[in-house]
Amino acid sequence: MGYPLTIACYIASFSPAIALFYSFIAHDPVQIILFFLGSFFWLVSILFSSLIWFGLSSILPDTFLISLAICIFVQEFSRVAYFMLGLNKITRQGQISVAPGVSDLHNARHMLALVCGLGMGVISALFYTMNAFAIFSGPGTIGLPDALETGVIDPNRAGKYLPLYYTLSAFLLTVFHVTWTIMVWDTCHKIKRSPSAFIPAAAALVSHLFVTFLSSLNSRGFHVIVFSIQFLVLLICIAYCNVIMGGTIGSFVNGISQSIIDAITLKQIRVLIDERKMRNQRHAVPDEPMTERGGVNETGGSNSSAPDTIDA
Amino acid sequence: MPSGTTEQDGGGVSGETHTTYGTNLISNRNEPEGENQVEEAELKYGASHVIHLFVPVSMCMAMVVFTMNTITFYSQNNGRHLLYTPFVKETDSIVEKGLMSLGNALVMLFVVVMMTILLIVFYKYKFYKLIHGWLIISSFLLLFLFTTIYVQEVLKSFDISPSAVLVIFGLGNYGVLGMMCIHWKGPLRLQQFYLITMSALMALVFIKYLPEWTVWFVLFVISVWDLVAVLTPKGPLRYLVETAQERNEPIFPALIYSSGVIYPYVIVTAVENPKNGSISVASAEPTNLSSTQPTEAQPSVKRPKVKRIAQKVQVETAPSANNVNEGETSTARVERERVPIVPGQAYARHEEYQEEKGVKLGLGDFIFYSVLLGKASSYFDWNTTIACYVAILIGLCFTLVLLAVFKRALPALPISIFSGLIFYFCTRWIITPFVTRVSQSCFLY
Repeated sequence: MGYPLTIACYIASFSPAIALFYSFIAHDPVQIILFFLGSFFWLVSILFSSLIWFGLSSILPDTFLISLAICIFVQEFSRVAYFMLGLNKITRQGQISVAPGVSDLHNARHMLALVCGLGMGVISALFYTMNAFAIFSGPGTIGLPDALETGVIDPNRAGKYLPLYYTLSAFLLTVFHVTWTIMVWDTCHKIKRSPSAFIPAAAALVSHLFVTFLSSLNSRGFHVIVFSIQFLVLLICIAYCNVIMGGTIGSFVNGISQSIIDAITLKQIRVLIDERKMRNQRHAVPDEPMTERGGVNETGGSNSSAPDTIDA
Repeated sequence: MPSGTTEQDGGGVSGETHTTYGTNLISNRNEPEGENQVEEAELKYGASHVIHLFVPVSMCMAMVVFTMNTITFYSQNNGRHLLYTPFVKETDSIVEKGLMSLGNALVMLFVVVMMTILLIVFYKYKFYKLIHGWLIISSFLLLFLFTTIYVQEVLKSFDISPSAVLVIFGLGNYGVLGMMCIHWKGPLRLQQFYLITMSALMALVFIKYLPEWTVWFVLFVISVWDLVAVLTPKGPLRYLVETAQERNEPIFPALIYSSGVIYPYVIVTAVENPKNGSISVASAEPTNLSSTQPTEAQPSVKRPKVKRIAQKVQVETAPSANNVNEGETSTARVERERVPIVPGQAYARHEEYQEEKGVKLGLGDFIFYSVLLGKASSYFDWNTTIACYVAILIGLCFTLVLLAVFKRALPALPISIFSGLIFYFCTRWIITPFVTRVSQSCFLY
């Protein structure tokens, strides 16, 4: 039971990340490096926040909640720091740039945010789940007295649904980090031009804090409510990102419904067959991945259609 | 053939040395090139190199980590140790432990230094046969003996018991094929596979036989040694590189793992070879600078993908090949894929030669990265493993960026290993408690 469970958990939790990685990142080496750099930045931020926790806890008695809040701030700040690295230079249009795969796109800077945010999301999800998943793999099953005593995870509250909750959390973390990065970077990009540009970053921070402190209710057993609210927040975040990228609510809904229809009607396979036909007809078709708005809708679509499959 | 068009393209971009990058970029850009275009194109090109190093390094690490977590033989020490680590007394005193580990690390470093010097002496006086024999013996040991031990343990831990005949048959074929691929010729992927596997085996041996704390000291000391040996004016590795360049020979990094002692080394020059850049198609035009013309007549243009990984391996296999001066060696084959050059032909100038090679990573680097990661994963904390992995890869990236800046041989170990060590200790002692505390309270962070 152990190993299949673990593998299933990994697949389910990282399927959106893998899908995004393959469709947007994997074809371009620069983006892969930026992906890893994103995860490194997250690592540094968690290092700083745990240092702060370490320092604070030696002074004050109970500093856990404060350091958690600080941790979130540090994470958001690490996004800003990553942006400061000069990444906006890459996405300037109309010039030859380092990453042709990125800067040719319609929403170049948002694509970049997606790449880096995905790096952060993946590593945070890995940090969150890997040890738990390793425990699921056995020997023994969750919920046995030994696991209770060592208390690495508290299985008492979630019972047999614990793997599901971890999977959903990992999923949420991955996608949330992407959306937060898009929001924060949008602020960073516009802050010099208009003073009202702080709204996306503020939204990111608030939603991050909200999601985190909402999840504390998990320890009291309100998993279903918590996850439904979190998924609602996620949906709002994705819609907001869509608006940031220049879409509207209508186009967002359209995109989602379209992608659901596509998923049901197996569009991938149809496209594959069509492409093969096209290739056979004429070879000189330039390979231009996702040049336009299609990219945005695709993002929203893949984000939102994945939870359906997992929930079901 | 597309070579005609690319040449035109390349000529159109700047007409100077850096032209061939234009062909590597996506072809639909016609904007006037800026000053920094070349730099950025180099970065782009370097990035693909980085990825081509990421993959084998990750595979090597994955093999080590997987083995460490499934096969208990390698994660537990039954009291036996390598000859190089004389201080193995069990104590609880931290000071004593630290001193003993330091002593072990220094002894080990001493052995490495001695081997290096021996090697350089051999190389200086052109005892090529001797070096070649040395390499063959060490790879023979790895391929037959260590692989046998490994397979035995794998079979034991998965409780499989095939017949002895089958095992001997399989192992014999595996070893012989490996020897052929590494020292003679064979498919490129197979060669890479063997090199990666051998590095992983070596790393496993280190993890098993080095005492607990000694590993960290060894990693530290070796990184420092790598730094010294490559960067100081009289450093042995630097001397090796320069001598090899003077002689117009490929540098030999494979010397490096010899008789069980490896040698941390990266070499590597010229990520950004401007002339025959990433595409061998485009290399048609610059080639005439470096080698004689008639070779162009037979441009067996291959796809660049295969080739780029080849660059790495080429390094590793290079020494044996060129030492023997056989025309049909694996090196020659690799190079023929890259550029139409007649095998065995000497390079005109060593700059061109450098440009041939792309980025290289010694096997020693593979081994020590894997040792770090394998050791990190042996404490059943996956956070540490992930943190070290990311840290090492970022260190590698950073090294390659520096390489693009300095354009000379650089040590690959120091940055990666130091960042790996920093993140190892930080994660183990600081981050993991925090993260555990957070996830105990069911917080999503």
